[in-house]
Amino acid sequence: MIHSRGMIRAVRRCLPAWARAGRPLRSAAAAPNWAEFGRSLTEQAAGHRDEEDLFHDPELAILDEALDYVEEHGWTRAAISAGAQKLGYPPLSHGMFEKGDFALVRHAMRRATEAMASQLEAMPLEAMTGDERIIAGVRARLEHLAPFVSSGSWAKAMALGALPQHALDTSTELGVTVDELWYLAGDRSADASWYSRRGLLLGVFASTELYMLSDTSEGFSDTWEFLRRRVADVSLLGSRAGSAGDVAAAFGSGLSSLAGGAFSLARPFVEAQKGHHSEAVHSALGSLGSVAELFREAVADAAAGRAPGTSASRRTADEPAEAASGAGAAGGAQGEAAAPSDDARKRDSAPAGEGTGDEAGASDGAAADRA
Amino acid sequence: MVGGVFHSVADRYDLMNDFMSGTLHRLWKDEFVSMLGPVESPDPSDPVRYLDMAGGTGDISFRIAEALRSRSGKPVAAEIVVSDINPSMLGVGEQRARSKGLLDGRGLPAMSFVEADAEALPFESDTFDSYTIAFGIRNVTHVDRALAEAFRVLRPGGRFMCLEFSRVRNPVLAAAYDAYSFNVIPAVGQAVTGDRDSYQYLVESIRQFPNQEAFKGMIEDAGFVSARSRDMTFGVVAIHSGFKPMED
Repeated sequence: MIHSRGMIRAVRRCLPAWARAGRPLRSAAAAPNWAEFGRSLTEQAAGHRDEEDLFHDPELAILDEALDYVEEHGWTRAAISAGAQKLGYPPLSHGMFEKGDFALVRHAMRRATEAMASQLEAMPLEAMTGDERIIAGVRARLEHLAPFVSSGSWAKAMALGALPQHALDTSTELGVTVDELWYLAGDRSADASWYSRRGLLLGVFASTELYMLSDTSEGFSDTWEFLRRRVADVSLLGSRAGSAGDVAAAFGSGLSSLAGGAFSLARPFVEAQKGHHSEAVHSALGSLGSVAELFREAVADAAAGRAPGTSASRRTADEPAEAASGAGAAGGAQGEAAAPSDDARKRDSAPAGEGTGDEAGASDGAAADRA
Repeated sequence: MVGGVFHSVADRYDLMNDFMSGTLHRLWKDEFVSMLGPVESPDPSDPVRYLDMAGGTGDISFRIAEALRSRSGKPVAAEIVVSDINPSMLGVGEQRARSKGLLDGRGLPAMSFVEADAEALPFESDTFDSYTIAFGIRNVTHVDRALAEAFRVLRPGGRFMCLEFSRVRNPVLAAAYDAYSFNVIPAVGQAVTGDRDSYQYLVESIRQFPNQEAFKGMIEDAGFVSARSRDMTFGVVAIHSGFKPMED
């Protein structure tokens, strides 16, 4: 599997803080890793990146190389193939990437999110307000893709990402991006606002990305102005949003505007894709299958009296990771216990669910002991 | 046996495929070639070489050729070799290629037709970038020998891909599929080609062929890595893929 370790980390980062805190505390009991305690996610991720030594991962190296060929070949397997051949791999080795051309789009999104995180880390965050950090982050993320936006190829990438068979992966990547942003901006919320904040920021991010696609101003200055106004709107709203309806609306409008906007901007490209209708049909059937699988697991969980997403098949052996935000996490765990049904439902709709109220409660105790 | 069966149906092979699968076989083949993702070589002196085994009527090789067709008409640095054990299927394929204008060469990969037994290929080792076999490996007597030959002729890093009938995993759908296979297909075969036995053989051979996991195991036993399979239409067919390891 491509990026399997990265995926685990990415999925974990989409979890609310209480769930993230719960896991390392448990594994810490077996193998304490105090060096990690209290470090931010990005610090840890940077550490892990060094350990993995990405330059020796041929799949990542091929995709990095392939980004140079997007201008020439588009977001296609031809570009991946060109990248692979540049590195001395055979022409058809692009077949190693199960997602085909989308693997390249996803890779570009990952690299942009990484660039955003490292750029933000280098900034004097303490001296900046929350809004300023958000603006800087979104801007860093989008600027990383600016060359593709200017050449018009990013609209095509977004259209690819909005196809039904890739929508799940795309929303996961966007989830990682907004989560990382909020985290770096200093958000340690563990209550329902965890969802509303991420939903709202997704809306901001999506609308700004769309605005940027058609922005012809010098250095995208109109886009940054647009971004500033959107963030100002949201900080006004963010202090009040809290009901499930607001959150759902924010998530919904973010995703649907992304999909609709990208499709209309890239219509000629989508037309050309129609030749691949069979692939779309089969993949759509495939994703229906995986949705059905998730649903089946959720039902099984409910029947067994567990919280959703805790069945054995979804547990992943995990690397030691952050145990920060202990107090916030503890508060969240209690809130979670108070209203289990409501939160459980929301957690179901989050990219992935892990850890139960009980476990979080247990780690709550552990955190209190340590404190 | 196989020779006899396919001699008698070669001409109406396509028509019969459409009848039996409700034209789904076209989608399966489109998807198969799309997964292969044909590319040409940047170096004209070292073309990408595609071997389509049991590809007599050209269903796969024509799709590869079309995927590689250059709009500008400049030469394509790729070569397709179509092989089949059955000369009459190969003859039908060559004729169709000619009538479709795929043998003109301009803006198209070079294409050749070679009669060959999948268990003893008349090709040198390490000479092909891909080996495809669509609805063919089921009819080979010793599948393991065919896989070993595929492994031998592929270059390191080359890709083995196979499209084949497989197992429907859902029991309800499987029952419906069985009823259709044993009752409808031989009858349609009788009506269209006047040859019931060939189609009786077809549905029986499908049941005898190893399922997804077993065949994946055989691919790995032959030495291929990154072996995987993907079901289409609930497992009526599956695409299997594996790579010959790179030399270290």
